[in-house]
Amino acid sequence: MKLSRNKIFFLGLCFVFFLSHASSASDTKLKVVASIAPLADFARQVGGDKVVVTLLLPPGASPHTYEPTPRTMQEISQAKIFIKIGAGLEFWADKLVAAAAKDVVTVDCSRGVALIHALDHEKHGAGNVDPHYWLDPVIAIGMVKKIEEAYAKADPADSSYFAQRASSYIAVLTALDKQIAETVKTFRTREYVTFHPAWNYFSRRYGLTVAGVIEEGPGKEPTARHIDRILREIRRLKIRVVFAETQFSPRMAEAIAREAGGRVLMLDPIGGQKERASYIGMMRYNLALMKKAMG
Amino acid sequence: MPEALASPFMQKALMAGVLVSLLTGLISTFVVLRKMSFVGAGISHAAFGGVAIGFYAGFNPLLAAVVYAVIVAIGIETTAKRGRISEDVSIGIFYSISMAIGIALVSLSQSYNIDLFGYLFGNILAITHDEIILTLITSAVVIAIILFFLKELFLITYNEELARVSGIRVNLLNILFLVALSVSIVVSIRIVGIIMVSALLVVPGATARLFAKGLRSMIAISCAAGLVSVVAGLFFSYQYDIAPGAGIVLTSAVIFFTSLVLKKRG
Repeated sequence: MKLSRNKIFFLGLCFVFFLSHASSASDTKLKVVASIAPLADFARQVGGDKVVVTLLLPPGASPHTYEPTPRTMQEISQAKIFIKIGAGLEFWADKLVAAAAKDVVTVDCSRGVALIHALDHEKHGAGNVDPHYWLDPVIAIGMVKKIEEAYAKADPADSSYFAQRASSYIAVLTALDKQIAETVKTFRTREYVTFHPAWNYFSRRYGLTVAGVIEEGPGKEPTARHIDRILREIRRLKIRVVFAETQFSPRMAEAIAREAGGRVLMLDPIGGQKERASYIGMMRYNLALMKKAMG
Repeated sequence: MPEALASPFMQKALMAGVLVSLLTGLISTFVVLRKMSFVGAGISHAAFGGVAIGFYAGFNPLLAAVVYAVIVAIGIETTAKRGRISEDVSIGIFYSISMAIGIALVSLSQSYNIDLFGYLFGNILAITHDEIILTLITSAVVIAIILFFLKELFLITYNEELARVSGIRVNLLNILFLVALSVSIVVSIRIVGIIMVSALLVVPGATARLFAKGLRSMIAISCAAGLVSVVAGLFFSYQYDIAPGAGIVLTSAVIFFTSLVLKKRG
């Protein structure tokens, strides 16, 4: 069969039409885009069935190797609210959202947070600020409040619904904070080695110390000298566990653990999948692993 | 230097590095003489597709990469012959397709904790005991095969027509060499990574060509240049606290350019 030029044009037009109307089922709900899984969970907890939340960074993915699919771009273009961590974490998303959605309201959760300035040379996009503050549940409470404010502004009719959901979720976060504080108190050691510098806020809140970081920057291959330093720290502290992270290859951590005679446990700072699907689930998972290693 | 030698990571890296440098030193001689350096770069990038297939299908990524690299190597040759295109065009086609397969599979798998950077830039410090054994075995087999067919490969390298006329099975040996090349590349990926494999495949041979009087002496000098690059590069990277893959490549470059200057003066 030979297709004429007109037929090809017509088929192409059908295809474009199909694409642009593929997802128009939930038109009345508030459309929200969240950059990472913990934010998407907060957005759903506060929004309940009045919002539709799209997560930008798929579970298991690292922001450092992210590239959006056409479908993601389509979903972003319909969003009214974009919730982000800020502090330079979304270097991969800011441009996308600006390109896809013209009248989007951006909620930068880092506003008002006492950010930690990285002492090392780690850089997440712009500046030397450590963006992993969501791993502190007390800061997370403030984030939930910011999301609730943004919802109430975008959809005033449902503001009491959002307020009620936010306050009941904050109660859950408060309980989580208490649970972590009590568990950490029982730890035998307060120093630990992590894979990537994500745990500074968590450590600050609960009085832990990060003794060493295997990979100081994303994709920055550790040098022999650096690994030797980490190994010495592990031996000095008599740590039996090296923490790796689910978004990165555990190869280097495994090599260090072999030398130190310990084993590798996988912390998860982003979550979004399996038992770590929710923020609470993810934090409990991490706490359980830390207890195994340090308790 | 004693401090570096005391490091268990450096000890393993040195063992693996010495094995790989001897293997690539030998292969490099033929790569340079047969003008196959772009084939080498193409196959090493194609191996990325093989690694991703391995991850996605759930079997050993390096093994998958070997099989895939061999298929691509043979694909490059046959497409160039059948498609009436020159070899560099065929390489361009195959290696971009392979990289694309790799990236598509990474998107599909929804799990990026594939050691992408490890494969792209190498990760010799994280090498395992098993991988050293695997490197030892593959290096020994490949080196033995090349040395066994040394005379034939030598003849093909200098005059393929003459080799054919004198009854050598040129096509079979060409494929055999492509397999050896692919295996060497995949083994080297663990050391310096996909992007820098060319350094081990090209630079030692290029250095050797400056001084060599014949094929055998070229092989010897090439292996020596590779060996010195890897060992000195590893110590250099320890001393100045830089990534080992880059240390090895930069050392090999220094050796090459120093040789070039010395040769011109001499």
